[in-house]
Amino acid sequence: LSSEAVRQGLISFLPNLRAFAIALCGDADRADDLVQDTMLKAWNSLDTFEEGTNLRAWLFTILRHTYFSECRRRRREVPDDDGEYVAQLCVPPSQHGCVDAQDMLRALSRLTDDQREALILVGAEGFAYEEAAKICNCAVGTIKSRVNRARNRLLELLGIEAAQDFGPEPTTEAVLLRAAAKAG
Amino acid sequence: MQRGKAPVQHDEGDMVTVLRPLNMGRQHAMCSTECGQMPHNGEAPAELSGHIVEQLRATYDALLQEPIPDHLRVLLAHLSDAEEKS
Repeated sequence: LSSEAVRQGLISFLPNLRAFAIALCGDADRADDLVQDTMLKAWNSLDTFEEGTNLRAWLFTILRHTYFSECRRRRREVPDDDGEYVAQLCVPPSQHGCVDAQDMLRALSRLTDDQREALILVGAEGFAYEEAAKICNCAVGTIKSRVNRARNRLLELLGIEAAQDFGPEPTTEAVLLRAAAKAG
Repeated sequence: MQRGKAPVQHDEGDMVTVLRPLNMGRQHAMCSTECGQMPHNGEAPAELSGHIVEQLRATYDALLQEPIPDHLRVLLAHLSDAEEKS
């Protein structure tokens, strides 16, 4: 790949790398540092990238390694137990349903590292189980199991027991019902 | 819950856990009201799992829409320039 092609690739995947980093560590500033380190490492290791393979998966693998190396260095795995950093993130609230972005990020931060990364890679980034397994350097079955456990744990953390819990919160629902009654 | 016996009283839609004798694993059975859900291995119903992933995607999409900090773009430009000059 030419350096220009890689630069274009990095630019196009920057939002994804940053979103993955934020979802992993729950801290926008730390996520930016992670993305910066990832970009530098990727640029300096271009000769190890096999042309024709998945650049996005390669970049995610580097970011993941960087994140876990840093965690080991810091000797802590969950840096935002109380969701303090997550609360500072500027994410617009979800327009649909009562599970807003802050709640989701806070719940994500309480998953184990391996469950969180598996769920984000497969559920949010859309990687195939096989690709995610490659990125996480584990078996496909392990990824499937982690995704499944992560989904169940998220439901538990968000207190969701029925599909109705995803609907509009009671006040919004009452307003909508009233508007619908007036219109009807 | 007693080993080998399913609880008799439960609400509609509840997942009922049937514990088998040791070394025979654990199995989840249908609710006796036959609400149509077939949970297994302790999984949440598929409908809820689907919804939670939708919510996760919505949150993730919001993160994707966040502006990229200038210093990251500047770094990329620098890397590219340095490559060209070398």
